Amino acid sequence: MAGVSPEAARLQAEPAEPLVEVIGLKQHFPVRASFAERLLGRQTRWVRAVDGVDLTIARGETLGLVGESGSGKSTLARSILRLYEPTAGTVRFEGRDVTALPPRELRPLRRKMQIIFQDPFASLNARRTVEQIVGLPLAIQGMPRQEIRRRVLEMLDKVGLSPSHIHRYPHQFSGGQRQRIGIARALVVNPAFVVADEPVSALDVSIQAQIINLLQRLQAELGLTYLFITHDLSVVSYISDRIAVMYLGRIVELAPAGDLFARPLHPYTRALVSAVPRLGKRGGRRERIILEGNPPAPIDPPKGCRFYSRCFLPEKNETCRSVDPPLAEVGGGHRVACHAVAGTL
Amino acid sequence: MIEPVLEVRDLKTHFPTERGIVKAVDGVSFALFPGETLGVVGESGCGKSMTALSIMGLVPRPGKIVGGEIRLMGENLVGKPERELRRLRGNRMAMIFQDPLSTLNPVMRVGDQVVESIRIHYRDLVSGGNGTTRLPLSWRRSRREAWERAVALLEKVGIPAPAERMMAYPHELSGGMRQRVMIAIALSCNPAVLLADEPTTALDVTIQAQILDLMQRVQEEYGTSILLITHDFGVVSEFCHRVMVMYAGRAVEAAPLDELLTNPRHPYTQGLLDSIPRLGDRTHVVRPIEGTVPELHALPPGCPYCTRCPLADDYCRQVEPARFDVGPGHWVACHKAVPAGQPAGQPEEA
Repeated sequence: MAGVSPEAARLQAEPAEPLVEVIGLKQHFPVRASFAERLLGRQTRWVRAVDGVDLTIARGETLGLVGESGSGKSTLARSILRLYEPTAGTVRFEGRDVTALPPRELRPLRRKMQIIFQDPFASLNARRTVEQIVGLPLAIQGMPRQEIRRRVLEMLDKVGLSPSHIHRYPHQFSGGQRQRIGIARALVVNPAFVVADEPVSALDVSIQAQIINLLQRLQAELGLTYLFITHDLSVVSYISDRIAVMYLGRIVELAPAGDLFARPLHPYTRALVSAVPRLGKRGGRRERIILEGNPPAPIDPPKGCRFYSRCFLPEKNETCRSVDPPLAEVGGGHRVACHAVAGTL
Repeated sequence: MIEPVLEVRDLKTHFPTERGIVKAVDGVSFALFPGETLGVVGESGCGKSMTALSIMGLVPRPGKIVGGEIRLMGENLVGKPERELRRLRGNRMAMIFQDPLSTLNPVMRVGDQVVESIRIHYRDLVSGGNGTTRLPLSWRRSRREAWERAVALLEKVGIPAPAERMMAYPHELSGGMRQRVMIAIALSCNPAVLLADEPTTALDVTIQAQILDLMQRVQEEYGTSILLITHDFGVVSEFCHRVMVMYAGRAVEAAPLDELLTNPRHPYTQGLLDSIPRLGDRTHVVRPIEGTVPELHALPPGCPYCTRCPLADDYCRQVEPARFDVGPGHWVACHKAVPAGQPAGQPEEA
């Protein structure tokens, strides 16, 4: 089939075994009503941070998740890891329903699902040495001390830190090195699935590239599956096999990485891709779509298409305002939630 | 020959610390011409923000400008008393920062903040600029005029329903709206030079596009010269006419934009460009720069980049490279970029 990128063809040719399946996931948070509002008998309002997401992540792939602040990408990741109790929906990991497991049975699964955080300054305990930080997940499992030391040293070597670093504290490291410690801590328990939540956003570009390359090398060596969250489209286009675009708690477009940037279909994705400042000559700038306004708050979002208020397509009409567009396949593993694109207007 | 609006010569801003003198800015020279945008690029700690703060006369203690000249429309600002600097800030130069939430007053309505800066400027106008005259009798009336002018400014920077927004507190506005308010305050005095320190770094890309677009329109309308400080080469390449690259407190290369992107001569510039992923181009392999920036109080004696440079030799480690012209408006401070047999460049070229 013409127009299908090599990645898409590969994904279609050998349908990989799904490692993570997300079905109809919702994560709502109550907005605390003020006393006056309660007196007036106003109903509790809800922030619909994640509002009906379906997603499959294949073993060994990197799924990039992009979206602007408040789009719900971090919440989605945390709900998948069951760091929040989802409001509705199911998450399956290696075929088992994670959302229904009692805590005791969840624990062994937790080992297989890890997370790397954005801010290596905030996510490492300042009063613990590198050995204690990286070894803690192993200590929780009851591993003997000598064994822990051996594993920690092995892990530090893998992430490019030296054995002499083992007794140092986080403040003695640069941002890039701290992120390496965070990665070592996540990987020391041999996870299968790793959520990387803006892992390079706090780093300088030269260091960012070091960490990106490290994550790619570790993926190849250890057979990891990544859910890579970022707001940086250049980074996500570089590291991902497929990319999902989130807007107001929903996935609005999902496609193989090359395809998404070569042929963005959803008007939001088109605006997003066009807004990224790119290296190149100043004069030879392509047309930029400047979106009006800000995304609406995810409190009681609009009924129909969530992008309706900022949509610039001439085709937009009453259907868009009242009917929620489903994430529909448009060929080559490219899915988009837009009435105009899917031809359902 | 066009005179530069702003000319910085051999600027040195140092911080005495317990561990030694931190040379945050160490011998930086450049010129900013009317109506142009000069991008200053570099990683955290390279001295780009401190360069801007030095120009504004806002170097935090214990930092101090210990050498060099800053000429704003011909007038040297270094050593000027605070009272005179205060007059120039706002009137001739203004600065916008990365995080408008920390630069706007949280307990003051945004309208009052715009009005305040208009009125201070107005007072300077009627008092002949020395800020000493008592307030004019029309002060009361001027408040209403200033209010109307503020509404017009907010409208100009693209804030919807500006009259209502005047009554909002900073926390009630989104990040993009706050940055628009900052730009409105900066513009309230129609400055010749706008120093923008990472103005879009805290914003989402679609909002970033809005703000960059706004700054471009402002520049076209008022002919403002902009010094844009950023770590993002993408922003630079969409917005700037010329670029200066800084590393460890020094300027290492400067060139017109296209020239710098297509023909970078300093290994650090090349390294930065190689380490950036290109959108949609998966064939471009990202190559990081090894190592980290050295501590600023313990810089090597020679080239500041020698600890990370793949080309560095013993000469680089001992002798600090001077500027060398390699093309029209293009200079580089690197021994390896100088063709063999030629003398090192003249440090005074801007």
